[in-house]
Amino acid sequence: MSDHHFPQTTEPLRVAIRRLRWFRTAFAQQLAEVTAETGVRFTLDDRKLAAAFVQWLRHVEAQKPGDRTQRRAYFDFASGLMLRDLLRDLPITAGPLPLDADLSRAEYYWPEGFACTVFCLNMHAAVVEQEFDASTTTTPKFFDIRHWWSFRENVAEDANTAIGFFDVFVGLEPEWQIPDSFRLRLDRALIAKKNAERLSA
Amino acid sequence: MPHRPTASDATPLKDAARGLRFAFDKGRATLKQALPLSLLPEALAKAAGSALAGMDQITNAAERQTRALARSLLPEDTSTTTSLDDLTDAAGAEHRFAAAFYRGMQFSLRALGVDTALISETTASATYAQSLHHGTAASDTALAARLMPALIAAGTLRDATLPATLDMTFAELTRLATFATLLALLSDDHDLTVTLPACANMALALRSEIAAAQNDEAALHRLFDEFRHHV
Repeated sequence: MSDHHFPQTTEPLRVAIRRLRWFRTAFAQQLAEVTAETGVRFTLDDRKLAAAFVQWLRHVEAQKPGDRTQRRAYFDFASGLMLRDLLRDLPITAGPLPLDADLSRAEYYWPEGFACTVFCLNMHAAVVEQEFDASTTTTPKFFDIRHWWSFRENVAEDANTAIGFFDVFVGLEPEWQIPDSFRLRLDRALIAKKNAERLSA
Repeated sequence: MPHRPTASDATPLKDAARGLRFAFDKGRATLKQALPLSLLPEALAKAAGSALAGMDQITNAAERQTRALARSLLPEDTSTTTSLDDLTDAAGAEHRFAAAFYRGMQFSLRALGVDTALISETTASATYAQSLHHGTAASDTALAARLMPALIAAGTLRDATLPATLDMTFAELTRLATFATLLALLSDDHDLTVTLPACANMALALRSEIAAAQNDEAALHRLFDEFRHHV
């Protein structure tokens, strides 16, 4: 997976990413990096990308928390939501695979899903680093093809599951029931914390 | 004292030159469709080809003369960097708005897949002036919401050649191009050449809401407010 290189901006990334033109440039740049690493070329549909962007923007704006202590959890959630909206509208189409492509690797098994996921993981890592001076990790499950079989199959049935898979890839506890609700995610995290405190008391 | 030309003298002339070009381009396309030169006997094809070339020359000359006359009255403003706030702030706001709107519509239509269109700068100018009679708008987004239905109803987009692949009617094209142009004039980046492709794609993403809003200024106002900082 490539390092997170994004286009220059004088604005914080959390602001720049909410501008369609920057979002598009950043996405296209990441696709070019995936192409350089895998040899798979992509065609980008700007209209579908704009549709995904508008959907994502509305969802994240609608669920923005008032409490600043919830910002980190919100950025994690917004990244998963971005993956959901990209995979739902799928604004890219992969070209032919290289002759020696290994289909047991995610980038060749599902090139479009892989490219969108890499973009969201890198964007999440860059924002978390900038906002919280913290680093993120990708779990071994990201490199396990069995997870990608399940990921692709589940997303085909219900795009919302992409949020849960994103959480799995960054090492968070996934919410599978209603993954697109930030409020529910917070409530569940609060209950888990209380249960843990009760057990340790 | 000689008559001092004003912008309003020149704008109808510019529109006339553009109308001439549009009518010719459209007529030429229709003739070409109706007269498949490759299927005609050689002598007839040659004659038809010469006639078309002759028409082309006459139209070019007429367009050149009309444009030159318009330019002599008022230098053409070809700047693509502008915002609704800047336009409304200055004297002669209606002419500055109309010139920017004209350029914006050209970029919007191109981004939506339409290369040949007839846009009336004169109508845009008159519509803007008329909108001021209803009092000052509370904000630039409120002004855009007021202008959008008025610009559409006044027929600022007179005509367009719709490609067969275009998946919308002329009415929807007008709505989306007008929305995209006004959104670009409201956005934080004032370079229309870079903002308009994004604004056109955003308008397409919002097409059902824009269609549902119709003349509802409050609904349009909300959309402009919601997206102006996200282009």
